Amino acid sequence: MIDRKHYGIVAFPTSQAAAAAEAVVLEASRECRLIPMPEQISAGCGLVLQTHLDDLNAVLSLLSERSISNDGCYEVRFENRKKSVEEWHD
Amino acid sequence: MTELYYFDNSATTLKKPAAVAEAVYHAIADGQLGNPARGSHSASLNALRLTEALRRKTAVLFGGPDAANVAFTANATASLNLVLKGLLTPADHIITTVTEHNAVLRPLYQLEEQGAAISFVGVDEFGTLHYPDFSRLLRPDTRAVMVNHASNVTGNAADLEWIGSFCREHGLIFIVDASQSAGVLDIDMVKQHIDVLCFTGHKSLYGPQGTGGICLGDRPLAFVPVVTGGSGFHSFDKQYPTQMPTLFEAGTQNVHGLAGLSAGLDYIGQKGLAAISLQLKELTLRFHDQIKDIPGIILYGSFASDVARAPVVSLNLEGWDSGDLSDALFMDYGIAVRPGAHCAPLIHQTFGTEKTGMVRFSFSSFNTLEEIDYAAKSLRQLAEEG
Repeated sequence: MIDRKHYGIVAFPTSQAAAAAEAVVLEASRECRLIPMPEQISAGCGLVLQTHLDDLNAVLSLLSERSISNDGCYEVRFENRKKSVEEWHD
Repeated sequence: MTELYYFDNSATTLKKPAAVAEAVYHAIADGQLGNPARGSHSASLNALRLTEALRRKTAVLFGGPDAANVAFTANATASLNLVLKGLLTPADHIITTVTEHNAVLRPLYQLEEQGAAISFVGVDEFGTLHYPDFSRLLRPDTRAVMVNHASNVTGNAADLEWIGSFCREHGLIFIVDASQSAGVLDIDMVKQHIDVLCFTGHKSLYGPQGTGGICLGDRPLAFVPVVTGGSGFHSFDKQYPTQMPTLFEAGTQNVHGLAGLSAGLDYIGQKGLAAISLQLKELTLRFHDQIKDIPGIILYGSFASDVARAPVVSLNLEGWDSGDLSDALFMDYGIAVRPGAHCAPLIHQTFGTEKTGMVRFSFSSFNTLEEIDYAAKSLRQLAEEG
């Protein structure tokens, strides 16, 4: 189960790319979900791919192998009822 | 009720694989398919996954470079309008052919009214494209070539590889109307250098009516969105997104219909396109062989065994109007065919059949040899009775 208080997300230019990414990541037996895009992100489609933060590198490699482009990665954290979304860098 | 012998498959296939009807039924009855890309709940995501899987199948069928380059529309007419009006401008010269359907011609005529120029490649006495015309018609402002893969009147197929190479050589955009060939003839967008392929789902792909699409090739093209509206994202932008496939998919998709189309593509995959193609050619030539010597018959197109074609046989009987002949076939023999001009005015002008029209028999993989023989025998009887 992905930690709902602290996780990684990948944004995509289209929902179709998000769905294609989900299929690739699930195929690789890695946990992920498509969830609504956080309001803090202005780029991308309406859906983002939620993953374990520790899996982000592996997920990006999978997407790169299948030539699925993304609109950036973010770290999402909930603390004291506040949600922060920050660009993620390895 | 008298049995219906259906030979109007170029208009729409009447008999579909059972799995197509079941898929549409379950798409609604199971209550699991919502509006794709409109949320992260299971119903919305189920619909999104269904459409994405269908994009992948479609890209494979057409040899398209990328599933993301496949967009779904209501039919080939919608696809052609979205493409021609979204891509071409009043400054462009377009080369097309006299075999085109009004789904191509009328959008082009609208562009012509705005200033665009159109030139037409002709055909020989058998309806085969006159290929030297492509070079002859080329102008400095020529931007695109628009051809149908197979004529809906003669069934004869264009040599897409030749035309695609011509387009690449001269830097032209190559647009193909595959209404009569998708699911019948092999299409390889990469090998044939096709930039845009427009298709319908309800003919030889055996999907429900109200399905179709656009498949883009590997060269980037700048389209203006023709139909705009909700996209599910970028909701605060005034401009509609131009990413594929959203570019052509404003509003809610026909997910229930696409579930059926997906089952239609599965049917083609299981049966094999090559096997279907061979079967349809056999049916067509068997029919042709049995009717070619009927006194007074006039046949249109080339029936040489080495000519690629869609399963279409268009004909006239001397002394008959095509409407009267088709009605007699229906009333006396329960045979369903299509008379008239088939929405393809230029090829009828070429053959001089503007007034009489033609009677078109068109077959599907659900037609049997017995049905073909019955149709040929019935036509002969009518001709002999006068």
